[in-house]
Amino acid sequence: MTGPAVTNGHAVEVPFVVAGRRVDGRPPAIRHVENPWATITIPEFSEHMADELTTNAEIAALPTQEIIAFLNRLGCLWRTDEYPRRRRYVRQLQEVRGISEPAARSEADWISLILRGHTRIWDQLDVELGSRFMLDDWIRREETEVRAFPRGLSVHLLAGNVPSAAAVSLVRALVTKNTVVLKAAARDLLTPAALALSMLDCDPLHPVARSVSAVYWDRSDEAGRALVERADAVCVWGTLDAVEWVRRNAGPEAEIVPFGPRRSVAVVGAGICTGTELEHVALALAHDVFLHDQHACFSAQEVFVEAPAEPLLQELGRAFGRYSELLPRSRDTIDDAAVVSLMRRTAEFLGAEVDTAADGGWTIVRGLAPGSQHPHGRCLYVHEVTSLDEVSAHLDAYVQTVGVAPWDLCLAHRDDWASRGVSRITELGLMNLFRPGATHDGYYPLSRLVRLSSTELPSAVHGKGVVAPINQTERLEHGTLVELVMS
Amino acid sequence: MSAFVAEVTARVHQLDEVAPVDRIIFGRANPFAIAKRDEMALTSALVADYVRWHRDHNVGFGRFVGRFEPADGDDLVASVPVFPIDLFKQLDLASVPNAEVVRRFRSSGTSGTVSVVPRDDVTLARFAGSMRVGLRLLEPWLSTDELDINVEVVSLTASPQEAGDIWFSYAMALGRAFASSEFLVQGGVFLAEAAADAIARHLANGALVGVVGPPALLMDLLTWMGANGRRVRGRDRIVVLTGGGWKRRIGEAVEPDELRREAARVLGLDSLEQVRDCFSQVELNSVFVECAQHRKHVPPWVHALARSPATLAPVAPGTMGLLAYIDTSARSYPCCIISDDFGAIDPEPCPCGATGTTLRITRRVARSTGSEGCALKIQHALQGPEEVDG
Amino acid sequence: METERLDATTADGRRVAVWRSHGAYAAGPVILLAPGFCRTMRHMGAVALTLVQNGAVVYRFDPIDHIGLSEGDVRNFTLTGVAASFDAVVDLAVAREPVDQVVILAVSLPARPAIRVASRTAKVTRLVLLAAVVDVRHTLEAALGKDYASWARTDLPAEVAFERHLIDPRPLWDDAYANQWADLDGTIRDLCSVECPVVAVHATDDEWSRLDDVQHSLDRSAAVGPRDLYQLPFAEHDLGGNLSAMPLVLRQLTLSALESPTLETGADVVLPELEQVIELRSEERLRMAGEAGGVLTRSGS
Repeated sequence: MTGPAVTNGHAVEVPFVVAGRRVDGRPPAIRHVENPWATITIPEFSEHMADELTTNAEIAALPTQEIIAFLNRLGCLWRTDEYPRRRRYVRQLQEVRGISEPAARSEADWISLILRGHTRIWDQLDVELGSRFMLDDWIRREETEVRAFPRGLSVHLLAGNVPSAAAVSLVRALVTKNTVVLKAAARDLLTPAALALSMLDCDPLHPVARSVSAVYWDRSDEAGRALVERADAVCVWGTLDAVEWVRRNAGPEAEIVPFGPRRSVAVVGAGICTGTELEHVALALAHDVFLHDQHACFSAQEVFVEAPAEPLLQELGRAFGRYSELLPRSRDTIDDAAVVSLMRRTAEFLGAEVDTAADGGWTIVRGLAPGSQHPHGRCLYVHEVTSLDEVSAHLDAYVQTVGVAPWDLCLAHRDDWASRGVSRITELGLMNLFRPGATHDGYYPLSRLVRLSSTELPSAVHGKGVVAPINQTERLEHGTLVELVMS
Repeated sequence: MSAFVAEVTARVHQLDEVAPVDRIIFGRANPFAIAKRDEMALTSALVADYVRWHRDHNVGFGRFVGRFEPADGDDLVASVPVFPIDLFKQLDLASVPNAEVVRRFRSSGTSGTVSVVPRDDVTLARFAGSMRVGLRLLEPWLSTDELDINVEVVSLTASPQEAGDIWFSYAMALGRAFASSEFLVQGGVFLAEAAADAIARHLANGALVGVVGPPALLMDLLTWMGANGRRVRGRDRIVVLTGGGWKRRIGEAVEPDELRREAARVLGLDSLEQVRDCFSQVELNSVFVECAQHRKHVPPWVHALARSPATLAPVAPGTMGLLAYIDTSARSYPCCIISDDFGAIDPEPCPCGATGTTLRITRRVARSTGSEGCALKIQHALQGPEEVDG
Repeated sequence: METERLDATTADGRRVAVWRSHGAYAAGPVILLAPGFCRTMRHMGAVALTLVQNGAVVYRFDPIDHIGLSEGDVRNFTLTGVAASFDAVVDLAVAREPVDQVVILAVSLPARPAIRVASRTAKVTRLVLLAAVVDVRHTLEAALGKDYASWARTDLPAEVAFERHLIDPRPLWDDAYANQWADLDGTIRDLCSVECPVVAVHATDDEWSRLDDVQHSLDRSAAVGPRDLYQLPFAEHDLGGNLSAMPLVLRQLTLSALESPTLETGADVVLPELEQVIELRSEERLRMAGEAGGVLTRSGS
């Protein structure tokens, strides 16, 4: 991970942001993170830095609307290439991560959409907390008034597989008024820093900007571990191993918000038979396979096709070709290339039909399950089934999203699939879109990022079903406590 | 007139032929002294027979080979399809009846994710033979003639009884087929003091001492000996052979040259040449031992090639690729494998004078595990444990 | 396999170390095993184990003036000493076992004195020779790189090295000339006096002992008694080191040595597994070191 700067490839310096303050690396307190295309120089995380990462009371006191307004301003900045930081981010994603220009622009667009979507954020608060006012006021709920308070210091251990996921984690924590520490993944040091720096571009004195940090440390770093230990909430995006690490190291009262290992699948029914429908479904499936180079938890890795699969397969080749142009694949590392090649060869040994793009950019494997390790790299495993009832046997709690076409399949199968553990069912082509109200890995994340307090009505109020003032001493004396509630 | 008397002669019977690969492994001639041209012809002939045999005895492999008909003009050996070692985690790849399988050996690791490789007596015998052949590269520090006579091996591994079916430990323990060995890992605990005692005792008895084991335990031994005033003067009477890599202790790995220097310092060796590393893996049936130049030599019964990570087509010597092997010593399973290791075939002959392909193994392929969706488990085998962020 | 240590005594009173091995219900023939030059009886473990597993009682021994546990130093090695050792062990076996005759199985150089022993005693019922040396002069030249037999006695060096063992060639030279060990004709003469069956198992590519010489000597003596030659194509002299050919060789040696109605084919022979053989090697290394007075303690080997 660390090492000397390389002479070939790009040399990129990425600063940290510590509690709203930019921190550039100064030798010798720097480290180099290398990948095949670049050497990224970042500051060395230190105990001193960690000490600065504490709960910021300013954001807790801020009205939600001001936070959302700030995020909206930020999202507007990110909307076009007129914003230099967006231009730099798009360029650096290509240089440092090998992401194609269209895909890099798509990431920046998604960041803008996520930050800018004020109405959707309000809706999300409304759905996940029960009221969009919950963080600003006491909300009447039956015989109580309830208010949500931030957890405090939230640490976000990012996976880096989907860059814009950093924006999702950030927005969730900010709109629940938490102080945010974005801990970057080694594979994506750019996005957390770009997000935090753009806040400083927007207004460096704004309480939101002062509540956000973007840093990096590796697992062996004790200061990082100690920070996780004193965090009030830890959002962990990663492997089972990463989630387990957080469970071992987080404090006993900390709320752990895990986005652990998940996979997603597509289901296509036999009802689709016209050429136009087939083309539409194939393109939708291609989108859900190609976006983020299949690295996202919502990326379709397998498709179950109600027999006959042949017409869809024929259309799929064309759709994959079209998407190869719309979202050109990221440059492969030799590791990525090797993993896909080995997968293809394994499939061939096991007798599967393997169809590959001439440039190796995508692969369709028919007649084989992916086994324990899906190679990503736009590889789709196709299973032809005689009845869609067979699909549920392949679903479990590790399946996050099932994308279906035609849509009426959802109604027919959702009880079965959801009871197997599936978190979301969407229309094919929309697997990446989390609509307001959508669950993420089986729960509402915003509800995990707040602490609820309630104030309850006084004895003067009888309460539903109670026909007399609540005087418990009197009732105890008369032995009539059981009559407190009318039969 | 003389009566015709039939001359009485001995009755002559033919036993089965010794297989061509055994003639090389167990022959007197040094396999690392075969001229390059002869070696290529030899390897080609062995590979052709080998693939044919397994195609006829292993249905799955036969079907696989059938998918790859070489085109006219293709190098027949290079065009032999190789399959990923991952398949040993999924399939029983035996080419011999179950009754002939002595053991199914496992790679180190957790259950369910390990390779399982079936071996019969012939395959095991050839593996042991390959170890002996590899030791020829240690001359003049070690003469194979001396092996079962005056060599005492201090093995920093578990005994074969403790090793069970774990290939690395079992393979290291196979050295006792031709040299007196004692095993200093007992109940999972490395007995550094006992190892130091054994080295000192054997030196005092005039034996040639072989210290054999994984580099991490060698380092433990050297550290213990240094810290406890137990350095010895091995001079030319100790050879050190490491194998198996640093595995879970990769974070403590030191550069090979540093390990050699430390071994030479603590064990009082005359030369850094007395410390060698070797390479094998559970799916491979031969050992590649380092020569005095610290290059790992591939014996002539193994065809090694680097292949393009993108297409698996052969790449030129000197170019990094996925290392693939056809090891014709493996009878009980088809050893036509493509490994998880990046490396390169050295383009130039080895200056040590021994012939045979030499190769460099750089690192493991870093995998992002598909089943973990968001989670990307990237384990750079040479860079340390997985990061928390994946 | 149970193994016990015995001692035999040569006619001139020298001690020959013997390992007697047997199975649980051994009732088969008694077989003497002599190791090759600069090998010891522990190197014959695989053969002994196979024979025992197929019902034989096996006497292994180290010749005198040789490496191993018997009296004398290999520096003074002679073939007459090996022959004397054979005689002593034959007598010991016949005295201890309920048999009048034994089978001799000799490997490499000791095959030559074994032939002479069989030529002069009726106590040998069968002679099995593995990689037999029949032309001693040729073999020594091939092994040592020089034809010392052609040298004048006075020109011989005081010592020559073979596999790091130092041997004085002068007593060997003297013995060879005095007792007609050196040439092929002497072997043929001895074989023509061997009436019992002689079976040779020999590799076609044996450069130290040519297959043609072995076949010629068997042919020339075939009128005297049964002679069988089993050729092992493409193998070499050191068959003991060829772990892969080992099953084939062990099976044939067992069939040849036991010559039993219950062992009609190779399929009837029980062979040890490789792991058993390797374990036995380890055990017998320790046994030998212990008997030699070495201070060896082993942990887990």
